[in-house]
Amino acid sequence: MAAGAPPPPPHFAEAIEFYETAVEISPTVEYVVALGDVYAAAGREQDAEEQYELVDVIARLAEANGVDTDLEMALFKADHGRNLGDALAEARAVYARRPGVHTADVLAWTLYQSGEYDEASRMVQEALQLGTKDALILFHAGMIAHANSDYATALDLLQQAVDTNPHFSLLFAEMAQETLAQGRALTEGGTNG
Amino acid sequence: MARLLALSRLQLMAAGAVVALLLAFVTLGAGAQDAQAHPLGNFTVNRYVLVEVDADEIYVLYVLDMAEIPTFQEFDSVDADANGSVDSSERDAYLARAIARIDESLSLTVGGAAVDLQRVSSNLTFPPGEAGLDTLRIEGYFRAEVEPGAHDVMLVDTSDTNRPGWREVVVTSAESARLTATDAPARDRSQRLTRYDESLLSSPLSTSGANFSFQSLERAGETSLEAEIGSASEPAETAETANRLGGFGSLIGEKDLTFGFVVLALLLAAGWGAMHALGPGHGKTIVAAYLVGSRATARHAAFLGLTVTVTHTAVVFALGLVTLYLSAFILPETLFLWLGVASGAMVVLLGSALVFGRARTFLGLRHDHSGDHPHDHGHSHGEHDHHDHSHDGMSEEEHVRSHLPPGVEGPITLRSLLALGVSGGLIPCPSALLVMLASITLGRVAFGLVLVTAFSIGLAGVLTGVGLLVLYGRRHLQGMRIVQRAGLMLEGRPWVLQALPVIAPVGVIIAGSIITYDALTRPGLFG
Repeated sequence: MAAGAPPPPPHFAEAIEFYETAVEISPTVEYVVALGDVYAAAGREQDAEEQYELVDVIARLAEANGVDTDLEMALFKADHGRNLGDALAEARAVYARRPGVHTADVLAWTLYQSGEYDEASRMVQEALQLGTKDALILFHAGMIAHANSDYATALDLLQQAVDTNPHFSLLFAEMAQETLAQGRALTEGGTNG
Repeated sequence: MARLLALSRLQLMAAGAVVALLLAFVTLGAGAQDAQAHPLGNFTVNRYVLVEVDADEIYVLYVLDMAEIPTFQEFDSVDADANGSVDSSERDAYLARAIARIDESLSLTVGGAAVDLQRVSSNLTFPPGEAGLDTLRIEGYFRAEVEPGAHDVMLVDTSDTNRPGWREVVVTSAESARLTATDAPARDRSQRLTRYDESLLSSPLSTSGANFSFQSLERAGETSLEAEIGSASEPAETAETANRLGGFGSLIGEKDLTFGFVVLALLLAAGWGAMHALGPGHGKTIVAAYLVGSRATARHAAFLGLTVTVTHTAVVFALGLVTLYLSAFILPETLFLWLGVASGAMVVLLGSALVFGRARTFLGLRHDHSGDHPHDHGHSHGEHDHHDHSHDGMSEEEHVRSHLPPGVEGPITLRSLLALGVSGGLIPCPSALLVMLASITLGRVAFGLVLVTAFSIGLAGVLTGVGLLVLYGRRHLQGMRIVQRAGLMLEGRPWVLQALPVIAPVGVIIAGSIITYDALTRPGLFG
């Protein structure tokens, strides 16, 4: 499936237009991050940066109104490599307060992005233990296994992630495919040699 | 499995929303302690147009009020040198551009012909908003000259309509003119976007234009907008500069629970509980059916209510803890379904026992009292009164109850009441569960427990109330002459009433079967 025809060129202009309207009507973290990601994918770094800064503002307002956004914010920071120290502290705090699949997943991913692969591996096991078929969690687990040189597991998990939803993330879908291709080349090379 | 987990995440999000709603109530309840609060949301852009006509002029005040998020989004175009703060030249340049935009978006026609609005003066401030962020407020005064006489005027604000926000148009006249027709109010509902009319928050004003006619009168002094322009030449020194991320305000204080909030939250919770009990499919059918068939008293009903409250609170709390801390081992959704099955099965069993017991005594009794024993209404059955020992102290009800042979009604044991109450409270209300989850998540377990208790009390109150209503209703039916005269009597009592104790438990069984069937066929239990 992945080896078929090249994907059609993404309609960035159209996507940007839709997300700009969405953000104008309802500037929630979800839409603002998505708009930033589309800007970034389209090469408009400056515009993307403005959206990411707006995310911080929205989070502050949410907090002032008594809404917890720390889980979403930790994931946002980990995904975009912004202030990883803060992200890790937040992810740990959220996980301590309400341990569960999603908080374990976010903590695992934040640990991975911070280079703490051992602990990341333990956390992601917890995120996977109920067998949740969530492409993003599977991708996180695959990348963590890859970082821990467990290539067979990594391939299996990444394949599951891509099979579940090949477009699971604007930021990481491509990374999943690349790591998968790389891993396949490695294992095939290994069996041949 | 993934679907179930997605559900629990959804529940958490919904719980967050419930709590946010509660907290929003606090802000409203506190009576806008912050003058710059935007009750419609931190993302709104609000617009206000005030028109004042006099003998030969039309004055327009335009107010643009941006809440925190649009202000932040707009900041980059204010802060031209991108150094993070606004100096006076940047302010002036931005204000000039903004006023030009507003001027462009305002379309004024007098007698069908477009008329230019001249900019008279304008003002830009950054009132402090929430979370230490700034908001942005622009006031622009415009003026157009007209020939004295009678005019039909149309004013439309064509600025962007995507942004949610309050849009208000007010049309007034000075002493020197008289409005002969207008489709806009003369009364201001938002005090120029500083204090929003709370009764209108659920359907905010959304007017962006006005049609009106006026007649010039004798010219008489300054109009009130004109006077304002004269005095407003010195803009207030405070809040005229802004920083990109504002100053860090106090964020924590607002999260404290105030006494008023707690009381309000408890009332809301009890109200929700009551509303929930009125919804379809709750245990009220069972309770009503049971009380109809039983020699129930107010005391029994109260005990039943208490059992429902305690069971419901305990189940919600336990399920909340399981969901949050044991979700690695037990899927709460499955547990939820099994609770439904258990509750339904319990009700079926209870109903079966009642039918069995009553049918036996009912048949037996009819045999005993075959025919020649006339019973007058109001006549007291001495021999039956001996059986009523368990209800001493309820003399007011003795009279009515003494007409019903013991056995037929079936004794109300604490055990059967307890079973009924437990089964009524065993299925947790999802919204109560959400409140519990949210409270645990936010580290306010005690508060959550109190809220859920209030919710359960509301729930039990309505269930018990329905039961009592049925109880008194039956008594009333018994006293009705029509029923007696219609010959619907059996041994001196309406046969409907005599059969009721036997029919009612069948209703209990049916209700129980429906609950069980519903729980068993929900997706997720076996799939």
